[in-house]
Amino acid sequence: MSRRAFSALVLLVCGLLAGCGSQHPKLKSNATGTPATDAQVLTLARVLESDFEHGGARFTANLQVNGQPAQATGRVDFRSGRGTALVSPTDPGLGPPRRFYWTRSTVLAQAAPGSRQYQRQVPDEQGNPVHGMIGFINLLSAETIDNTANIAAAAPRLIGHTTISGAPVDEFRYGLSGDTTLWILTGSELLRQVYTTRVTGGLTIDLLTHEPVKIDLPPAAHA
Amino acid sequence: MTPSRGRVRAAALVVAALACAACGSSGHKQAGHGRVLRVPGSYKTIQAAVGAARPGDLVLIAAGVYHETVTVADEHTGIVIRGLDRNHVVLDGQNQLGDGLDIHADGVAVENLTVRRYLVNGVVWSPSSEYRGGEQLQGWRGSYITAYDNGLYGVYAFGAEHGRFDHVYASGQPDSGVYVGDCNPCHALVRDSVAEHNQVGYEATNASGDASVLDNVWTRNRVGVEIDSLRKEPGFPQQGSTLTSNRIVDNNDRGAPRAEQGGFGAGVAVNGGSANDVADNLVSGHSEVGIVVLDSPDSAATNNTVRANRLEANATDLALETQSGLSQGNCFSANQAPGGGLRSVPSRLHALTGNSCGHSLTIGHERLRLLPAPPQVSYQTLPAPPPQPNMPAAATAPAQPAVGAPERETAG
Repeated sequence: MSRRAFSALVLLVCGLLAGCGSQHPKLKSNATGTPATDAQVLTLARVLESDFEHGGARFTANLQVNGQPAQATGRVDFRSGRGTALVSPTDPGLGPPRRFYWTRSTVLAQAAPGSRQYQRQVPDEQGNPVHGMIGFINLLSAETIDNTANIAAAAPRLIGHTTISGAPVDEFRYGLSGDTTLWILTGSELLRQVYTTRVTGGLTIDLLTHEPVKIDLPPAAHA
Repeated sequence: MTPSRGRVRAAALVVAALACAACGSSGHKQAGHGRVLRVPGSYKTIQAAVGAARPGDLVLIAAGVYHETVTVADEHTGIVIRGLDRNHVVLDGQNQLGDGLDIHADGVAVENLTVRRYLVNGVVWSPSSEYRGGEQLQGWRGSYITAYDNGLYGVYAFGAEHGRFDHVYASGQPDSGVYVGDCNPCHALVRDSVAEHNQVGYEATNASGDASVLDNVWTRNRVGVEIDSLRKEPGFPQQGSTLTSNRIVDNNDRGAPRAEQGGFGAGVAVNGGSANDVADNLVSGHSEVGIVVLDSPDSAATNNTVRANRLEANATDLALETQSGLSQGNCFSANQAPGGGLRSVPSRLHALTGNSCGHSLTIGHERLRLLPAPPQVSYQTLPAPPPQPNMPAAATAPAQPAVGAPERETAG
């Protein structure tokens, strides 16, 4: 079908998001680790399906907006495709937080900080970094298992084992140039964190929970 | 591929070809060289027999249920894996194993067996990752395979050239029953096969050049046939396949499992791509549309031909949807409906495009009204299909590896 989950995520993120090719200062771009085994490829194939089966997630994200670091805190309902996030410049002096909602087809942006009014926006994943983040989040779940042949073709590697906030994770890297890194909760087939250098300044999304989430859109904004 | 690896691979293919030198299109002459490796008589597992197989050998499997993922590594070229009884030689993943048969070697044929309840694919041919970078698997064939209730595709050839599916039956997959993708030129043939109760009966993504789909039945899926041109998968853009003399009927099955963003109620969807020929098919009983040609998210549909199809009892028989509002060289001609009452979007599609193949004329931006996809159905709970016909003389027919041009040989 028209979506191949992670393989799409890895192969397409350059097309979805602006600024391909930049490097995260903490990561090496050259391949490290060991080639993923068939069992590990199968784990990778199941990750997005597992995310979907759990319903949704609370998340944080680190991104760049207008060349400045920003953070997002939000929730996403993978089943409905709806989500919401509060996006804040890391430097509070650069401006107040702004809230966004989204559906599969529309982004609703707070008209002004603190406002109860929302402006409907056509998704522009290449031109708008917040929309790019939303597009990326929408690729983090899938209703069916991913294509192991596509994943294997992207040369996945197990980088190692570590922890995120005390939770043990397995770190994988793949993509045609190894520039997307995934941290999968050990033994659970659930995505904990994903990082890509294909977005200007890098984009990190950390799924803090995996749980049913219900998103109520702002009044008069149902799409 | 390194030069040394290339020489090894070429030599192996020569050996396989010699082993099958006497195999003509009839498929019943003596092969001469190949051994018969029996499972479980001589080898306890299919994997063990495959591991011992050399070019020209036949892995012959007795009736039983085998809980294995069988990987055919790239050195085991030119072998045949055959069940003695299609309905009673069963590879069962028990909803725990990934693929049923995972084939990375050139020239491998799989015949006369059932694969069910795998998490990903029933049978997949694809190059090993070491070969990626442009080189494709050479030679593949799947004959008399039953694939049902697997988590992605039933039978699947990806990055593979010169091959054939024939007499396949695929049901209950939440993606495609039969899939060919990432090849150019494919030199592929799909014929005499049936897929039902899948998200899509037959799907071809980025399958270009000499890819023929002939005399099959695609029925009671959510969508009958999908031909895609998608940038996010290898082999983009798609062009030049043929879909001829198929029976594409009643693809509105609410009981079929669904895929992410999957459609519903369409017989044939040409989703982007160029110069595809959809001709002489029966397309009947679709709640959305019989045949639709539309731009994919990544590419314009151009110069596709839809001709001489018989269309019956579709909500809309024919549709052309382009972002530009132009025909983009796509044309619809000589299609027929009972009483001459073709329903098309835009209306008068024949009159607009019938004589303008290859030329772009204004058609407007009229759109089909899309049906919502019915709720998901778990592929893991669907019933088994009825028994399917066995290949002739499974116990005695000589091994016929998928070397040379399997797409040109007579099927069954």
